[in-house]
Amino acid sequence: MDVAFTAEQGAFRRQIRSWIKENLAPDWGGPRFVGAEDEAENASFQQEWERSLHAAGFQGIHWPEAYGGRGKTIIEHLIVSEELGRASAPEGINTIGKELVGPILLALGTEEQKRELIPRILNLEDIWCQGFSEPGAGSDLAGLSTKAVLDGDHWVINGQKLWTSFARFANKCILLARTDPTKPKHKGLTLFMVDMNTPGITVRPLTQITGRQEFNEVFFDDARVPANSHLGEVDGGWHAAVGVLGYERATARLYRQARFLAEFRSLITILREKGLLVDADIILKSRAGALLAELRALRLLNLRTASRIANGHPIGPEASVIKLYWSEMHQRIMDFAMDALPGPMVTGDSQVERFRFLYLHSRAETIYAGTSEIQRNIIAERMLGMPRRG
Amino acid sequence: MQFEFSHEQKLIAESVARRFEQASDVQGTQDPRETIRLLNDLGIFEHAILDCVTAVAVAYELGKILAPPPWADMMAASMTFPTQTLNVSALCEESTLLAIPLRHETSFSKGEVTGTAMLPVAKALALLPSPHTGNPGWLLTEDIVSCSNSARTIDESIEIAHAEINNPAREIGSSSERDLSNLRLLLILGEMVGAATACFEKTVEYAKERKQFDHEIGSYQAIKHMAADAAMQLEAMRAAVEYAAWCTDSAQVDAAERSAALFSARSIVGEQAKTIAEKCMQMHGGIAFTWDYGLHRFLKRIVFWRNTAILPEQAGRELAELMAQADSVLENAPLEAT
Repeated sequence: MDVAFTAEQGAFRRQIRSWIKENLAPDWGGPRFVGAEDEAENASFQQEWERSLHAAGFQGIHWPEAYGGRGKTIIEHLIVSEELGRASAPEGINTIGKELVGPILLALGTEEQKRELIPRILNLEDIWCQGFSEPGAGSDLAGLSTKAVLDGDHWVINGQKLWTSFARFANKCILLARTDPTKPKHKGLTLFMVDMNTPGITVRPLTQITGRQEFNEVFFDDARVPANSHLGEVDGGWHAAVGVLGYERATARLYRQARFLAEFRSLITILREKGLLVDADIILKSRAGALLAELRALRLLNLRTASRIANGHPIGPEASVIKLYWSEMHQRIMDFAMDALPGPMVTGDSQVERFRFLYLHSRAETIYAGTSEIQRNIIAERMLGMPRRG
Repeated sequence: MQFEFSHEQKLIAESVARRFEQASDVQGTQDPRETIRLLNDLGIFEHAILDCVTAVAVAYELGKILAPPPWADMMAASMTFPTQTLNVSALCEESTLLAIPLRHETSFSKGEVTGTAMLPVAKALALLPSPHTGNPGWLLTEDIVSCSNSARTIDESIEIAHAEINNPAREIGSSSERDLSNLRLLLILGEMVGAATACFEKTVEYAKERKQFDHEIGSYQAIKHMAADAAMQLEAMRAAVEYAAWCTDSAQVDAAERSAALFSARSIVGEQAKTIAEKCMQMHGGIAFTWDYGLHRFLKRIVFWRNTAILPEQAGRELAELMAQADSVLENAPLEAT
């Protein structure tokens, strides 16, 4: 067993750490923790940040150099993720491109698709949104009803997608649609790459619990896309989406742990400034320690996943373990903030604004990217081999 | 980076598991002397034979079969002291047990140790932190400590001894870099993870077979979700204990990180091993409550160690103290090879 990074990996960590220090506004992670409330202003800020990361060589770390990636390993990807998380760096606007579309393209795309589209994800020429969930198909994603019908050399798409983050600023959508309604529900689905400027597509923003508007509804009314717009095989979309989602669930959000730890550091500082966490606060201290232990365990789960991938082992349902662990733990940290700072968390105390926001924001985390209940089903059925029903 | 047991570490752990499987009566009798004899046959008590990570891999196996104490005390001692200071293997050959008190109040003068101690087993040599040198100096009683008063514990296979100690003792320094107390805690954590693993595996198998309302109970989400939570907690526990062991072995890890790793493992395993065993009982239903089925033994072993040695709440507070002393604890350790 060896949990250490190599000296070269250590040097790489110092390189990105110093780049972040020089390039990120110094108040980030403190008073400023999200972009401007104006979504358009925020979107251009996020794009600028992602472009500068790309220009400095810190995007597509473990993607092949042939497609514009850096050709390094998952370990370097983990290091960059940890350092971005540590600085609470702005979350990018093209996360769907980088975390979902890129990996699916690399796994299933044609050589031509990879050469054309991967560099455009990295340099932000394309910003992607994800058209999976629908009003009637959330956890039961395979029950979706958006249809694509082949008409000559075009697919004609009709339906509605929901909870579509970044759709207003995206020029591309990775869409899961039903192409064969006669087949069992998991088997008649196809993945499409859709240009968001296609006539017949309407985007309507949704205001979230935090007051922000990342979510959207996307309507497809006889939207016609070229016949070669599908990614992977026609009617093979479920396999494509699920196969890649598992891997992504484990590797895409490696920055979270470091980000949560940064938040926790900041929370501890606030508690100390308010005269809390002193000797007499036995219960608060014990809870703070227990949460730090969990944050550390999450890092170890990440390191273990990265180590498995780096050593050529496949990642399967254990990805669900990590998703379940971080999403529920983050809510526990915010519960701790609620209990430790009862008044400030619900009144206008500007010092704890970040935690008020995060408390609300963290409600989504056990829901999106597969609810905690879905993750538990995956763990029980695919990892423990418990019987499926129905 | 290779964050899993090496091939060799797995082989050693498997050889321990096999040895105990062949001597199947050990599990029934729970004889501590038989346990240490079997381990000694495998060379486990030879000084410097085990690194901490391998020792944890072995502890997992011993936890699964609920091997009785004081094997962890003896294993930790053999890893800490060179043979010329303390020959644990030779003690095993004489069927002599060696135990570290769970609690003690003793003083040492004129070559004799006096006071009281609570030991995890009766009739053993006692290994006590030395009042002169403090940690890591230790006192070894030279006579077997006779127990004035032994008592049953929540775990029927562990009988603790409330001993009046009035024995000759010799002071033995800890020439090794290893901290005996922490090493013992690490092995106990490994034992708890092993016990929770076995308890959980038994439960998953049961849930796949037991039928109610015409279906296997494991097909119901109420059971699946409880099992999934337990599986997740087991992963976190294993990662925390193995990392704490690796930190103990690794020169590049500083003292604060090593302490933080052990406090974290105590916090996580202390809480979660108990929760897992409790969930396993719930998933089993009524049969879990019966004596003969034996699931209760895992729960009892886990809570015994949780409450006498691991003390997760205390570990949480100690970790919070450490946060106040060393900012580095609130950062991810760089873990860079030197």
